[in-house]
Amino acid sequence: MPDPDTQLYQQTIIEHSRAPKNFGPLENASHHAEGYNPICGDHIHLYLLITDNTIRSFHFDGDCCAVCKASASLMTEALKEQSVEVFDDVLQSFLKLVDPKVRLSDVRIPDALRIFAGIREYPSRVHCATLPWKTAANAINNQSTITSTENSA
Amino acid sequence: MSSSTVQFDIDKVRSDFPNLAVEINGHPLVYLDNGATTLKPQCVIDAVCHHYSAETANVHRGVHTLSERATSAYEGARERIQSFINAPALEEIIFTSGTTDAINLVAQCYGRRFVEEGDEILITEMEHHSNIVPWQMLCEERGCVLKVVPFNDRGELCLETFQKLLNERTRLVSVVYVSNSLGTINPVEKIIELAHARQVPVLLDAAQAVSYFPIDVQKLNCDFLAFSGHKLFGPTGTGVLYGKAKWLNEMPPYRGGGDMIRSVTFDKTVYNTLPYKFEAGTPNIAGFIGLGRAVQYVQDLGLANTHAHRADVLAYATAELSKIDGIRIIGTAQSKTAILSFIHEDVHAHDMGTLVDEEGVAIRTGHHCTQPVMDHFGISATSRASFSIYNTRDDVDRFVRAVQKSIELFR
Ligand SMILES: Cc1ncc(COP(=O)(O)O)c(C=O)c1O
Repeated sequence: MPDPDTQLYQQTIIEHSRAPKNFGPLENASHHAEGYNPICGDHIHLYLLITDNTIRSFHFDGDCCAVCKASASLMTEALKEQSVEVFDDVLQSFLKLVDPKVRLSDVRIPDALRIFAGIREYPSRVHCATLPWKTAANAINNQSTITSTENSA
Repeated sequence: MSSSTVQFDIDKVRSDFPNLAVEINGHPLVYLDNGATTLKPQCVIDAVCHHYSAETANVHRGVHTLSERATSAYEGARERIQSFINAPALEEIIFTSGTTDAINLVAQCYGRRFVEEGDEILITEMEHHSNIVPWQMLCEERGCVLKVVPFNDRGELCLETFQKLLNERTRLVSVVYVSNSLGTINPVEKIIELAHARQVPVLLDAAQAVSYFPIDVQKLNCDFLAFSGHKLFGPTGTGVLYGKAKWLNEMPPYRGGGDMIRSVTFDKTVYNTLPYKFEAGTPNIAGFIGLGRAVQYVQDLGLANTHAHRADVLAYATAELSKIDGIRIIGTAQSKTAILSFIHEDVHAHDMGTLVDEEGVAIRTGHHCTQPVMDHFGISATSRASFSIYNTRDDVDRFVRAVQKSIELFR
């Protein structure tokens, strides 16, 4: 049995996948990007309203697995009303969190997001968790290309 | 009980596959990803091992004893495969690295010789990407046009449209014998008959078919047949292209290099005869020796003898899975192999795959390299359980319980 701390499908993840926060398009979005994981078919849209360098609204929708949906839900909850710099910082921490080469004790990240540490045990699922983050980063950087996680799989 | 079911000894078969004894996440393995690749019997592993531990040598290149032995084992595999699919001539068995490689060979070599601008290649909506992309590449290169035969919501090809799409510009029909994502067994005899009535040759992608029922290329009268060794209990990196000599002789070589030539000078190179014309460079020697042994294993077993057992497992799995609320089976053709694709309204295929794995059950999730099939059903992915000769009703029970457990987690 997997250790409960590293277990992937924790209650929080299940709950956020069932009733995601900030789900649905954003009419007045200033930034938008689309992400796609061809391996599992996860397909996600990220919408942001950014003014004065601050994320005022942060939404997503799409057709994706529980891990991807929960990741997007928790990301948008954690980072709305935050500055773009804070987003960048937390993004870097999140990428370290899911990277088995980085010691967990070296990763500083809000507790709400730390539950994704368990995904280290599931290398084929890491992209499900990182897709919303990478797509949001592209939206913020105004990259119109579709984010694809294929090459790194 | 018929004599054929008496002959099939499931316990003996299971004991032939050492990988079945492995524990996954604390549970005995239930391997239901045979569509992706099958497990290997001990005799195949031993044959590969024997080559590397006692018969290492290159083939067709030396007079020393080891080279003679390796060449004879390697060419012995070609003879095995010839008899397995009942090919008229040994030279019509071309070794490739897999189905993908075999189809690319035909696309490039047949394409260069026989396909011109405005010509048409006819495939189906249920092809594996490996029977789509090589043709799209050919279309880009030669200006030909790809035509696609649709299927209905059960996953059966629409033969009427096929007939309508066949015309005087059609240069080749390339169709999957058994769909890897739907399990449909296509009516290839009829397809071949209709195509031949218009002098159009037919390539069959038999990747999923070879391990399921005996194939006789003379009876089928197909022009080309492609399959992978690793889906037939053999090593990865092995594949076969059968082609009628009348086509192969007309086709230019595939890749240039050693083995595929008769003589080389800077003025003129003379190509080797079949099959070597299409086999440049040192091949996967150990792999084909292993594949030869795998084919012998299957011949000794008699695929026809395994049929009743597999049909029973498929029927049982279909019935048990259908009892679960919210499950929809994708691919419900009349004529099917033991491939069961499904989706659930609350659990995404990818989560399903991870969760059943925690119970030791290996299934495949995703689009199965058949995105047009997913598009047809308006979905992005399915979970797929694909059964082989060593799977049992017990495996089905463990699988169905694991699926139920995953669904409960999301309730
Ligand atoms: C129907 C079908 N065609 C082609 C292929 C490609 O086979 P390979 O990857 O061994 O070349 C597969 C394997 O997934 C298949 O199922």
